[in-house]
Amino acid sequence: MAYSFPEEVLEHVFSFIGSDRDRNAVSLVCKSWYEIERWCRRRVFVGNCYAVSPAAVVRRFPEVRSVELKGKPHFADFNLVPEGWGGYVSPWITTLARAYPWLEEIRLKRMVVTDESLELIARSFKNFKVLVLSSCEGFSTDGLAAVAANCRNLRELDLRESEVEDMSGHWLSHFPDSYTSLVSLNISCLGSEVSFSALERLVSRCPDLRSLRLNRTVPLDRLANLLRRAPQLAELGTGVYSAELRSDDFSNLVGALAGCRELRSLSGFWDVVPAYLPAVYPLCSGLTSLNLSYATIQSSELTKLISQCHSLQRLWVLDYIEDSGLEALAACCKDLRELRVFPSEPFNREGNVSLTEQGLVSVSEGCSKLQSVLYFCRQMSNAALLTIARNRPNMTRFRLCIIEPRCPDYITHEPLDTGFGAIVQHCKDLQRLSLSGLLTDRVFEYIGTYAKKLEMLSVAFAGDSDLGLHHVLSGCDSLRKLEIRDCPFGDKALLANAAKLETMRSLWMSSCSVSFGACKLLGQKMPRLNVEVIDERGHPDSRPESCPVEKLYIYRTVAGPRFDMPDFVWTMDEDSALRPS
Amino acid sequence: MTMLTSLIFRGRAVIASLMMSSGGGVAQPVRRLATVAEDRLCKNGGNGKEKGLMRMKPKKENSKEGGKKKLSHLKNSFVILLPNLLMKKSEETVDDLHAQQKMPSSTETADGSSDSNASGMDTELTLGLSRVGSCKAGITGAKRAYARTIGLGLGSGTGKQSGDTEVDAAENSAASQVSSAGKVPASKAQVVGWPPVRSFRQKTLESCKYVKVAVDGAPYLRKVDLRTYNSYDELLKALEGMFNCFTVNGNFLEGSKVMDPATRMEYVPTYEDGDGDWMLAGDVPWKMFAESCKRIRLMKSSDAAGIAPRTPTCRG
Repeated sequence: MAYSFPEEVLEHVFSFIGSDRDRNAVSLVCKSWYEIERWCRRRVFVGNCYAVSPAAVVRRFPEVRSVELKGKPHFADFNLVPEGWGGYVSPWITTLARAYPWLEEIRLKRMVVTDESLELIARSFKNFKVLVLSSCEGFSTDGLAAVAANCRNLRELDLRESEVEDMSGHWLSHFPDSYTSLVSLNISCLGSEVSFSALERLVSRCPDLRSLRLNRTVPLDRLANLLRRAPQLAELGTGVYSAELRSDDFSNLVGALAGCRELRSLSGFWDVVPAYLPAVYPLCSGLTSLNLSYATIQSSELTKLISQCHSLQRLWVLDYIEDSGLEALAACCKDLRELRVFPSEPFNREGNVSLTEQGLVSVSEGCSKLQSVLYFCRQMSNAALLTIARNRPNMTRFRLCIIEPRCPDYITHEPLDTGFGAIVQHCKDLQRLSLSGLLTDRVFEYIGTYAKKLEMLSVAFAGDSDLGLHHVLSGCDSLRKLEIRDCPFGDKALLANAAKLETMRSLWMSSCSVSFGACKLLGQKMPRLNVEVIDERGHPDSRPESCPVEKLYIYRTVAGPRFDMPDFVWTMDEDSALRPS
Repeated sequence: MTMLTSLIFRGRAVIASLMMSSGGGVAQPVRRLATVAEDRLCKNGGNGKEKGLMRMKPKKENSKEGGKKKLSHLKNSFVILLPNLLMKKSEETVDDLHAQQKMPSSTETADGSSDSNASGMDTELTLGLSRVGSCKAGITGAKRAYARTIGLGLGSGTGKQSGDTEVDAAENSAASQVSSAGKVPASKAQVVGWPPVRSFRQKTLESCKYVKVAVDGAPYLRKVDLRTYNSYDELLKALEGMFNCFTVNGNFLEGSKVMDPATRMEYVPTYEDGDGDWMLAGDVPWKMFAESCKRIRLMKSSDAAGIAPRTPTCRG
């Protein structure tokens, strides 16, 4: 019987249970387990910051050490979410500061963070260790200075892809001389110079530094000095990889790089000059992760580098690699798990490089462990997708972006329905899928039928009718996030599957055909959903109810409607009265 | 209670009509619908025609009245669907529907006379006419809106590469689409947020087209983003604006120079190319120039004595 175990025993058992889902399941067993579990939960992940109020979180979990929050919907990355929509972290920080004096870790993604919040973090948490701001915005180097100055036990400061307002490069100097605990620093997103001498001194006095990702302004000739001070580095993001290096500078660099025997991950390489790439060759055999997605060099240079990386597990690269480079990848990197190929000229209608579907097919053939793919290209065929699907049934993430919207199979001129159908049919553990090319309702039928483990689906310029959306909402049992743009999906499927929306984190629909009337109806009938209409053309009441809304964001929540919305966002609710901020 | 029950049945009818209005099935549960759907497709010219509608066709003016008419149909079906929904999960509804369907090969036509079809099925599907009509209208309405959005144009945007300006332009055009049908923006406008490349990445890859501009005698340099201009004239006009003290005499094509009216000093626009050589601007096509230009210098004419005068064949 559960109640005959002393609490301490149960707590000890629970301490081995890390995943949120398991923890949630544990808490549902009985009231006493709920109580015990909530007191010993140390990590909270809130995938949508508006799904629950900060007060509710701290009330339920009093002893949390690590909080992770996500704010804006994913499509915010592509400018589809207007500025000012929301995702403010400030109310969270205020509450956390009061409730968790022993909080150690804060991880935020796509949130608006202010300097005040950073200052509050710096002041409130005595044992603060980890700050990760991923794709965040709204703060400046002043906020960073506060963190540097006050967080004596900081281990990790990671600003990946955030937009930071530059007030001064001297924020780095605010780390006191007594501060030695840095383990990971990622400032690759910063546009401006940081003080190099401060950086060098910081690196020198932090013996546990394992990950250092510099920004573009750190010149190549300073890199050697930094590396000599941190030979224990496991991850390095270079600064700009070009300069007028004298030959002794160059050999200095080679020596410094070679001295980093633990280096497993390389990134950076902005403005790379091919002549200096050989400096990293000695490291290649040990590399597991290589991010060359800013390296604007040609296929031959890329191939020379990659062919030496026999332990490579993750590769991010520009389409300059071309099919030939991907063939080499397939031949040399048998341990590859993840491949991302980004477009060098995404807005150029004509291709500028010889990268086709064949490159991906080669990799799918040669790399048996390949699970995760993000691939931008300009042509695709059903046959290629079928081959890829058959080759790699272990695929878990497949994101294909054919640059021209509604592009058909270039051989047969048919839609790519059967190709993607093959993907979902063969890859039974597929968790994430992004579609592109010419697609009819049929592809959604395949997805609804086969993609039972699919958690996130991104759709653009696809489908014929509401039936497509209906297939997905009714068939995809594991669906959590659905984002749709420019598809002819309207009211019917949405309303018919309203209950499904409560089982998902969120649904985004923009430039579709969901009418304002339907949004109101949905908001009225589903109190546990926030149905947000985002429309910059003015109050929806000024248009007929049948008029489609520009953008729609629906998410489940136990916090009710939010009140921090700008004047172009309305939450549909029970009163059927619109509530602008 | 009977009212509610009949509402539930109507809800199923809508879903049934949804299922029947589209392409054939692939998997077990939907196979039985395949014959019906295919018949229907053959008769209407089905998907092919619809696809034609969806592609780059300029859309007709959105008729508000038509919209209102559709609304009343749609509204009814929404009200109907939801009570059904609240009673059961949507999966159950569709499963029930599948269980009930007996599919005679139907002669259902586009204008929705599903009565003949319905006679072979449960009474749930008898509420054919208005429902199917509304469904179709819904679809057409959807396509209309859809055509509106794709009217944004999928041009290559060879000129402007700055992500932000394009976003603004495209969003404004999206906003104006409601009233201004068929005013498809010029091919330069791009679809917002497509292809899905993060702005951080875009900015990083693009920003290498900022080049320094030096003017002999000026105390500081400026930077310009070559990608925001489409011709030499545009560039020179911009430089004129930046440095404030120049006017561009006449037209670049005619071999005129940049001149400072105050000092009567003439300047020759030169640039450093990818090989490190200093060239006279204007000889090569703009695009080629933009690709190879590393920095720009407005050189005093007097210093430019060694450079041959431009031939009239230069292109702007």
